[in-house]
Amino acid sequence: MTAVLVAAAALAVGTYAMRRGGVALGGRVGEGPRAQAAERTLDHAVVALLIGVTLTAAVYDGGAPAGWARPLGVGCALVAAWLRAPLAISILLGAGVTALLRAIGLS
Amino acid sequence: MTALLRDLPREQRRSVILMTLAVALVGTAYGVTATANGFALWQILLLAVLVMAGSAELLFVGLIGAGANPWLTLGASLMLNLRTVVYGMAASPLLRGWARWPGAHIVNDETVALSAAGPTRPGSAPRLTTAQRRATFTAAGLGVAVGWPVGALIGATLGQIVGNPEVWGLDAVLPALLGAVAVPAIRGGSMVAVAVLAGAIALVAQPHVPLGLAPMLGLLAVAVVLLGRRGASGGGSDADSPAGVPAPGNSVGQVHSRETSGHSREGSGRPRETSGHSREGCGNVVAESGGVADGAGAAS
Repeated sequence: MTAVLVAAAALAVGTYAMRRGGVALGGRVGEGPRAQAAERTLDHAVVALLIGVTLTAAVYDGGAPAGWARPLGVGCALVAAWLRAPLAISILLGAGVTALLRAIGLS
Repeated sequence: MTALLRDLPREQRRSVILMTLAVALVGTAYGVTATANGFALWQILLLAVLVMAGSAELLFVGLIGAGANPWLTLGASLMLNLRTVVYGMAASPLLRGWARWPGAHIVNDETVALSAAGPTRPGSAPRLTTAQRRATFTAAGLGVAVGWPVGALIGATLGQIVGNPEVWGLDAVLPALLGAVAVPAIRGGSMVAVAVLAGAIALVAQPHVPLGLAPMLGLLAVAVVLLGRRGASGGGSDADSPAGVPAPGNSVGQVHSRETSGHSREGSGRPRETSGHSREGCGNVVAESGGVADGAGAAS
């Protein structure tokens, strides 16, 4: 358990360091067209990362496929978000559909 | 506080409140999961406050609960959080002076997505000013800082009763939230292309790379799409970007951002460096996993 606590502390320190490092790096980007291009690139990078984490978390448990229920549930949440449903509705829909599919026997 | 409320547009206020509730819901899922995996309440809350990164915490408690080695678990969780470097860069213009120290802690998926998202109805209003983005970022950060631990506390309490979080679909809550904050941030054709390509790369790569790395490989999509566009439009990188034109009401923000950015010109190549790096890193991964893609698709 001690090792777990040390790992947890290291996770906290490491995560903060990465965030702070990113803020420091971003502050070095200047004004003008290059900065606008950088901002545009970062906006795209944020979308790429969000979608990447969303889909991998929806489809996989670690490295193995997680089954059908969760991807389908999350898919419903994404469609709801696309149709501009309120955030909470999208999320409850995601969890609800996943739970429902599992209740009717789909893993 | 009054400045915060003044600069926070009505629509963004609503988004922040809904996001806080959503984060609390994910926090509940995290609390339940962590309890099911044998974590004590104080550990759950301490992780929630000090790490404050939902997906990494869920991965951490999940792997530890599954009996994984703590150091491998640490590595995977840190790798999943690598993306916060990019988020930090994106949030950097919103954080000045001393605010960078506490501000860095609230750099995460939700705060960066909301403060970048602008109006949820495309074309209905101009993009947010820097002051409005800053207020959105701060308010969203406060929302996460409150909603996440409170949700974790509720979840840890419920965890005794709920039992298996999967029965309630709680494992779907985190991807649903991230997806739901990502969708409004997607503006314009190039972002749709990036989202589709990045999602495909991450999905194909996930079983073949160390846990947590696949979303970073999706950054390749940014390089491909933006460089492809630049090539197609003959070098006019911002020709198709209304975002490149400062909004008329942007003057306040302009002054602030100039203040933070008087630094070096040579630094401005850095974002591209980041994606360039991942391009090198994943060229072979994509090639290697391309052949397996069909099999993986059939299996999932």
